[in-house]
Amino acid sequence: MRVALVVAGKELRQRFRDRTALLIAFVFPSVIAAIITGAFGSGFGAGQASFHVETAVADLDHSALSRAFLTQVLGSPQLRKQFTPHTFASADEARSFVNGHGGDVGFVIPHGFQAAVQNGGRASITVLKRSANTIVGDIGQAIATGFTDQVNAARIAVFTAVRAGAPIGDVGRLAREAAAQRMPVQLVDGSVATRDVSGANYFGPGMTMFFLLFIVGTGARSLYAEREQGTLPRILAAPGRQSSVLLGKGLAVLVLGLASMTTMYLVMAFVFHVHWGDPLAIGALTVLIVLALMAITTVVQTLAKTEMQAASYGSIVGMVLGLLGGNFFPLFQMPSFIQKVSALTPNGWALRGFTDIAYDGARLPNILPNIAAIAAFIVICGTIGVFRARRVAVA
Amino acid sequence: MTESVLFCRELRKRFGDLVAVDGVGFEIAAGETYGLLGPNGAGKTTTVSMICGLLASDGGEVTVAGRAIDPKATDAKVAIGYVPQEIALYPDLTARENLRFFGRLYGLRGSELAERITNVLEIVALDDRADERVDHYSGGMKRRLNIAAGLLHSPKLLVLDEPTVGVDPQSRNAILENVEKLAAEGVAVLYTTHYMEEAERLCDRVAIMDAGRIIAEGTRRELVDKLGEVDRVEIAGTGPLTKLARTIKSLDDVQDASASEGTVHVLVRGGRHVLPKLIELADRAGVGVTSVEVIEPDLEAVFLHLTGKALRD
Repeated sequence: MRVALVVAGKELRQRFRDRTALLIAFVFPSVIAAIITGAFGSGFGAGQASFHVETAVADLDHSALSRAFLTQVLGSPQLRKQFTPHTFASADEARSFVNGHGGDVGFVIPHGFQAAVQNGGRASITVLKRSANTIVGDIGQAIATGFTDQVNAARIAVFTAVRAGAPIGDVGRLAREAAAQRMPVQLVDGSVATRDVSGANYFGPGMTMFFLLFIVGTGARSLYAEREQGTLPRILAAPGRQSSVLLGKGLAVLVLGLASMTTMYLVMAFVFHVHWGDPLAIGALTVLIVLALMAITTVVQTLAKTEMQAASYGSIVGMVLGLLGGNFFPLFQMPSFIQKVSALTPNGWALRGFTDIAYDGARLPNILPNIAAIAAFIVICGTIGVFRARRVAVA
Repeated sequence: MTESVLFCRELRKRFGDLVAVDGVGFEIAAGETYGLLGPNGAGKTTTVSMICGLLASDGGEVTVAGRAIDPKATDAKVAIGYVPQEIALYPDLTARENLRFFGRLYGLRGSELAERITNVLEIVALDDRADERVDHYSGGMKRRLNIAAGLLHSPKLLVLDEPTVGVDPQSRNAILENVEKLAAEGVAVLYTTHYMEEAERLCDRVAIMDAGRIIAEGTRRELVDKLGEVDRVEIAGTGPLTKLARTIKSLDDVQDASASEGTVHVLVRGGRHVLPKLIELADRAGVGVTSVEVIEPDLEAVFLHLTGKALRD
């Protein structure tokens, strides 16, 4: 262990001497934090102020049910911060508002909407979408579908009650009660847009991890550098095991990797007010993912014959892992095939874990599957990596 | 001979089909400088790597200060100071930082480490440049610091693998003086080189390696004697030089003697021993001697004789 600490100390001194340590541990993570927060801070978030939908509403029915869509759906606590309704007298006016880029989405509630419900017909709302903003259009579609599904469900409930013997004069009251009771549940459970999702929580760790994929390989690469400059034989001629040299280099990279991730967390938390979730879970996931990235890049880079080749291999693997693991695009927006493949990457598991911690309030016990998966990468790749690195050291 | 600091026997190493070292063995006593002489590819560096525990041997044994050495022998390596052929230093660190790192690898700490750093920097005359980055050093200064790093922990065996390659004459001389001083202080030195003049100057005994084997071993004199080579004595002077040459030629051990261009050329076994007799004969013959030179056969000649090729081929 003494030799490992001496080697680690020397590595860090060199990294601080050429200022790469400052860049890796503090500057780049801070820059990433600023860019990510600026670009994605509210990218997915109903709770974030900058996600704003200008909404055209043409209520041609003027009924209690159509007003309920305006007041209880778009005016609900979950949506009113993001959806600003603009009412129009006709469908054409609403359509021209949306097409004229004044609005993001529009709803047309047709004349006879409530009557259709009361008469046993199927109620529907027309959603006006902008081709340039399909995501908001899809969200609008989901909201409208959710509302009409509830209305239709309420109609079926009332119909069932009447068939069961309820007085026919109570139909209006029953319908209102059915609708009123189900509305909040529908909005909370049914729409992705209502999750308190911040893009920074996803892309912050994602981009820092991607950055680290290139950094953590320096441990393995420095073996080649030491070999090429002749210092490796001198170190190996000293008392101490070969594994101590590898451990020392690994320790230095681990310190830099953890410092990098920690800086990113702290800057985003204290400067940009991003909420990360359970610190214990975040910490455990961070240590493990840095170790896993170190292990996997060590395996790949020790297949090389020179430092230059090792750097190239590391870059290729970094890009592939970044793409498959979801560092560039949120996994839940990826095709299901990619989502399955991401389970073969440690960064994919880590990102799922970070997402669960930040978005769903998961704590350490909840992310044990993620931890187990990443630990498996560490054990398998770490064992192979150490074996390979020893071969590089004595070659 | 006093007790051996280094003992190696029947060392073997093969890389695929290439037999790099084939049954090499020798001993070095405290205070002795042992030269491993041979051309590039002779197996010197492979032998050194096995002695320093950098490379596992395929056979044979190495002990240093009574402890067996192999790549897994961690504590036993503390008796060895290794100066590799390359300049094994970190160019982005200062001389002092480099030495501090290598000293710590050998377990040196605190004031002891600081004292040893000061000491070795004085030995290699770099104490006034200790806090400069190594990449600002000249090639010769780097070579000297390279040696200093091998001396930090006061090793019993100092292994120098071609330490003067690419060094200017002044730095080379400084390095050779350092080696001589260390040997005088009782350090056993294993010195590999393909510069025969360095081996002749420094080494008490020399092994000549070729194709992975030691083909001859001994003092320079022993090696020369083994070959039956004779010395050449050049006596320059005035007077009856031809007569003197005839007289000298009649002596035992003298193979030939001739006079030309104001010089008597004598081929004789043990030239230094015969020299007083030659001077006496010159005086009796009435020759005014102006200069005398004894030219002994060198290791280059020995190597050429043994292998049929020049040392630097």
